[in-house]
Amino acid sequence: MKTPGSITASFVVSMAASVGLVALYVLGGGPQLEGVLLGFALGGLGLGLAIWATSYMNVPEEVEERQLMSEPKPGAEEDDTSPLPGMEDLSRRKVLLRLLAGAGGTLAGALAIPAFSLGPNPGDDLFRSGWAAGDRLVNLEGRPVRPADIPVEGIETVFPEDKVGLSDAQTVLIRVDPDILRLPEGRGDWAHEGCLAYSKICTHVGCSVGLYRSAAQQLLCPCHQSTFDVLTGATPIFGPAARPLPQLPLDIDDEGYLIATGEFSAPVGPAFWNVDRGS
Amino acid sequence: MIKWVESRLRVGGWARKGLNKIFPDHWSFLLGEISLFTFIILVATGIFLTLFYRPDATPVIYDGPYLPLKGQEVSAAYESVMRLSFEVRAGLVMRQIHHWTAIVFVAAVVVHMLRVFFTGAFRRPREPNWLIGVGLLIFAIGMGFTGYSLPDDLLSGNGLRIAYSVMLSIPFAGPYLASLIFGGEFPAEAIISRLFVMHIMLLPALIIGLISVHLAILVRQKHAQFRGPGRSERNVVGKPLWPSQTFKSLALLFLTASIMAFMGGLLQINPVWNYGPFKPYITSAPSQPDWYVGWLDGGLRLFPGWDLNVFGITIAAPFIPGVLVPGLLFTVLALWPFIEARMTGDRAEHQLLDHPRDMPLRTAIGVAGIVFFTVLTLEGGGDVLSITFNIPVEAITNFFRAALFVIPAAAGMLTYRICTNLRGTEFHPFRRAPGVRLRRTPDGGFEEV
Amino acid sequence: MHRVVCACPRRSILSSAILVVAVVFAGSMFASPAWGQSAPREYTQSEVEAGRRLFEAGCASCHGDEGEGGLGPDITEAGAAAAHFQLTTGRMPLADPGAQAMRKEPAYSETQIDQLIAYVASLGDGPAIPAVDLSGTNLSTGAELFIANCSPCHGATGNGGATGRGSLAPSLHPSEPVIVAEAMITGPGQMPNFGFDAATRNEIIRYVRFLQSRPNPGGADLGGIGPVPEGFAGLAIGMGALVLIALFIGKQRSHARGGVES
Repeated sequence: MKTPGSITASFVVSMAASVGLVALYVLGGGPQLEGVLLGFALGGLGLGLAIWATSYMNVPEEVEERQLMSEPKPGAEEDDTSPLPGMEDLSRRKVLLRLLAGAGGTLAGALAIPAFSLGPNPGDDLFRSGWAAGDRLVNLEGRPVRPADIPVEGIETVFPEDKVGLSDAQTVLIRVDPDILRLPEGRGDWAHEGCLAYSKICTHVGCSVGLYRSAAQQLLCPCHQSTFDVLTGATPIFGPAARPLPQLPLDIDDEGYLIATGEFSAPVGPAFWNVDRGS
Repeated sequence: MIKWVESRLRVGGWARKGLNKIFPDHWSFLLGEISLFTFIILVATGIFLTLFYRPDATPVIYDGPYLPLKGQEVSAAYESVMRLSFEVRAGLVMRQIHHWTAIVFVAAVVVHMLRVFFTGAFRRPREPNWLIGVGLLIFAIGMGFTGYSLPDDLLSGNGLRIAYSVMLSIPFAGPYLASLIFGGEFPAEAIISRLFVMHIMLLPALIIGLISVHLAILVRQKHAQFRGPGRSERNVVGKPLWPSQTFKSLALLFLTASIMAFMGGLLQINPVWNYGPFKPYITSAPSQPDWYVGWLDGGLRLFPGWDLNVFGITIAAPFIPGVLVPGLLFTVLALWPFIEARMTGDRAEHQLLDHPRDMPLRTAIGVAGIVFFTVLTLEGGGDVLSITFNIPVEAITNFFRAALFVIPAAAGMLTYRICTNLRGTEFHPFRRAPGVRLRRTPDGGFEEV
Repeated sequence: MHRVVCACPRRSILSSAILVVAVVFAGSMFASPAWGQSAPREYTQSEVEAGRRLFEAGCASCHGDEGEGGLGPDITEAGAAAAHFQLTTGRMPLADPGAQAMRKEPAYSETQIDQLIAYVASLGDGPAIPAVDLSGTNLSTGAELFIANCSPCHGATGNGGATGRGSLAPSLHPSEPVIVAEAMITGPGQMPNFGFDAATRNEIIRYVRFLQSRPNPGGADLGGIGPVPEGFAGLAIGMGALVLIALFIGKQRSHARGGVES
């Protein structure tokens, strides 16, 4: 029988590639060549087999009988779904069976209870951000910030002093022209020299809102494009966020540094079932 | 050798019968095998990766050869992935093959599922296998999500934050559930090692178990087949397992692995060194999950900013697109064999497959479903579409909001039309119609064209 | 990174000389006015005058005769930095007043740009063209700063991103170091004005230069913007190839009773 050339070539290419792979590894490797050689090694083998199976195997089509699943096997004596011997005796013990079920069920519940060890009761964690009255605003390097450090149309990520990197406390400090501010009622003194602070955690699903459209004074979340109007208290004006970014009330301390005068205006981050409990 | 085994286990008769089993031949029946083979490749490459990965969120200082990260604080998990990528020979190519194969694995499962759907192969007696299949799809997506979150990089860490927040939105149980699963308030250190356990132990065990049952049922029920000469509900026409189908399957295995190898070497994927380590106070743009989670991301973008208030309970906006709708969709998907049986009244056993055109309503609904998921997936990449085609992001979102139900419905109706028109014809888009073409001659006769 | 085995040919003296000349020539490109001054300088009165005439002809219709604004913004405090940025990248004159200013071919020659800069700088106390000095910078510091401050808009690899309402943060790949510095200082368009000191700016610019060299150890970067193009490639190339392979394997080509399947 003549050996088909195409299959021979495929297998030979495969062998050469495999040898090449070993050589490449010894010489130091490199992802592109590794992938290509491996591709040829595997592909040569596969192509050879494929050509063999589709073009050089004289296997005629065959017919095999099939039993329908819903029909009983011909020649079967009894119905396989009839109750086993001993079932009747068992099913008379109704009280015992119920007690067995009860014991099994309560055991399952008891065995499942250690699942609660997986994590703590969240308690009030979701309502606290880590900011407290008097906390200085510091940047990522830990330096306290003065209004003069941030230009108008500028943005910086800040944290409470000693808590740089604390996720819940992440805050964006923005500077705008104070004359165009239209903050909600009661927040008139929350900004200083145009400096505003909002929670950086998007109220949609928690991404960090680091994109500031400075000419339009809008914060944009990079994940799902929720857009917040900075001048009116970071109210959402487009996108899937429903709640404004909580605002941090600011003041200036004796040395001219920006400080927080309390917690955020609302719990930070995405909403949950009792987010408005007003704690 | 065979005699040695046979004289100890006496499996010869059973093995003979098995190797002679007939399997029908159609290219689309190989899609399930592609799913299986991509899974095997994932396990093989995954074992290699497991030997280098450290599921540890402890901060360390990166001191490897990748200069832009030198001296930065990263998690041990991230550092292990960096080391694998830059200091282990064949490490990067194995990582990339693994990730590309994961992308294709879920695609193969989906395409295979669509073949089963459009040919009606889920009908009695194959409803159990359909349910198992939907379970496998869900676990496959879970494998992907847990897997790409393991490097603890900036992009996947954001994905975890989103998952946490969606969990948070579940009424009453949300905050507690999120805290239990993550081991505390986000970002909790425990999540990395827990994802690892899910990814290499729990989910693979479930998948391997389900695949085994899936294949066992297939062997027991025998594969379904298309109508054709000599074929009936009571037979299987095809080729025997040995040598024909075995060689074909092996060929498919090696060729699949070959494509994955080429991609793993030539196409960069998930370059975690560019994103840097996860930091909870930074999100880079654009920010997307892998494609098979993209539809969820799209749903989150599309759903308007409505927090619902029901009896004093806040139902946060992400709950509906993130929990409720996906739950409903997958429930409908899982129960489809029973829904269709009820709709058509057809509860008979079927061993012969439909052509999609034979069941226009089912095909139309299927196409509408595909288009629906496609719209959601496209919206998931909305900001990338925005810069690629120079369209404002808001316009894309608003368009898809309006079109989310319109486009799938239109696609469904068009499909219905096409099916009813094609029904009864042998028209095939890639093959010539059977028969001969005749032309009338000037003197009244006919001649072949 | 993996060691690269280099098979470099031995050089002759002549080719080495050619190489030196080529490098000097290329280096001089960095210093020529086409790339802009990389150090601040004083402008002569004649430059300011020439600039005023150009300004009245091409810019005053939007920015006013003294740069006080009108249809366009007030640029009296914009300074040499903003003028240099906008003019050398061709963003100004604005092509379409309704759309974001985009990089294009500059409308003026280098000399004319210098004159315009001289005039705009004379209008007020705006920032001067910054000096960019990358010596002493640390790639890792730059990377951290870039990811924290720049990646939310420009992307982790500086390939750009959508920033809402039709605006976009452009790709940083064509930008010279001084341009990047000026953008950080002047915050063009929707970009914020960052209050970085020169050292911080230089660190970031160092990393931007690194990104511009497109180091992609894993292969083709598919756009470098993450899972979206990766997904397309996986589905189109990966799944596509596998479907074709299934079609190939599924078709019987040898003689077999029963023939080809439907």
